[in-house]
Amino acid sequence: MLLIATAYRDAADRAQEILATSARAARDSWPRVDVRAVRGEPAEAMVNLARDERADLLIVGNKGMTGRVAFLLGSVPDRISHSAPCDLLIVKTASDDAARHSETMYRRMLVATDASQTSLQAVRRAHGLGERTGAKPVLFYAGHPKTAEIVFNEVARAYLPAGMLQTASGRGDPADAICRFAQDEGYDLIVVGNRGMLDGRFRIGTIPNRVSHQARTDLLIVKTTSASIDELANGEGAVIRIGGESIAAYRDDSGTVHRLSARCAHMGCIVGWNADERTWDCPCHGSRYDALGTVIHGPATTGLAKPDEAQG
Amino acid sequence: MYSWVVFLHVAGVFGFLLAHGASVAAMFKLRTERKRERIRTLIELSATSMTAFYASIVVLLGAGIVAGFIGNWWRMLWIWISLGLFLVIAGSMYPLASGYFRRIRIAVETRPSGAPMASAEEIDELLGSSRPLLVALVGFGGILVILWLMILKPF
Repeated sequence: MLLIATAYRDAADRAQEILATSARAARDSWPRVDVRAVRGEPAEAMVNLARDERADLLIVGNKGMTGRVAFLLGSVPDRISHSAPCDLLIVKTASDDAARHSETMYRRMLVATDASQTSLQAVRRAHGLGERTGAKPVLFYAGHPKTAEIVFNEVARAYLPAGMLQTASGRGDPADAICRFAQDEGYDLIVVGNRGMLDGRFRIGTIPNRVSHQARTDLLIVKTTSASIDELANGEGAVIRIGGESIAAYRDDSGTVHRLSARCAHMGCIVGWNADERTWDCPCHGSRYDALGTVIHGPATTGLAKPDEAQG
Repeated sequence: MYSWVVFLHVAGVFGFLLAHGASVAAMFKLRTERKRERIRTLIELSATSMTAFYASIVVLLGAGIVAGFIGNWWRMLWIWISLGLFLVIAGSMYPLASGYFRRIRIAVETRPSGAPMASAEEIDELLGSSRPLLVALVGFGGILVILWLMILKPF
């Protein structure tokens, strides 16, 4: 089902007008179309609606995603991209190429991967999308060509027979390399996982975030990490902001949620979830903790604190 | 009182050099090391020295600022330039050095399947980069200028 939604603050009539026009256009190609006008701050309203409706996919235009000023001020799609509770498709509506792409199905899909567990989820989603649209996903690794061989072998081993994979690699800064390759080779869609997107708008170093601001094609950000404890799958962990504090939350295989302070016991950096090894890894000095917070690798000498201990 | 504060300041400098010396030595040793286990050990050694490094920075900065007040040095330009230079060096060293160490640390990890995270060629390229020289140049050169400012007090 397609749910067309718009958010408004005061102009309810205008919102209904927009929805009616959009629904008329969409009914030609969708068997079932519903509309919804939601009052409130647009990004928050859309994210909440997607969560309430248990949406599989949220689609937004890319207005306000490009340019330094837009980045600093933030835009509705940008804010949505950092809290989407599901996959997010950002459609290129603001570029000169938008009209060219507007009536076509996706033909060429570039899937960025480093063979991590989270990026493999993006590969699977892209493959599923490719089966429905006829577009074959091409895997892309940004980095050393010899390491690319390792990455593609890992993907093949974990997911597909090697012969079924189309691959490409490029060097340089990963986000730049992905966007440049997609543009030069004429891809319609870039697919990335959302790892790092939920850490905030100003974590500018994360690859999907930078791709979301630089890409000149449509971008599918696959939800591979969660934004709330309720969304955590069994065996999954995530750093989640609760009451201004960063909590390292892990849901074990029996469904029990374990909450720890996300501050590394060494120097206080915020740890990140390593889905491959089910560990909490500190990006600053390399300390590692098991899923329950016990230190397994220094320089930290003590485990992650309980949230209340960290506050006290 | 002033002499004791300067003593603390200089003690902080010694602590800083001792702790950070471990990182500098590890960084240069990494350039010729190719065994992943030994690379991991060197990086862990460097990371372990960070606690003492930051503690000594707090001591040297705190004592230096207090000594500036007691000695009435804050009316002089050299102490402001020294402090500013120190902040610039610290601000540039952190991304230069920590980014370098982080990339190597990740590169020598092993994937759950047992496959290496990065190829031997990439590790060779990373370790052979000129980054350690740049880090040493910025750090050592900056500290030399600060030392000159503090000893000669030219402004």
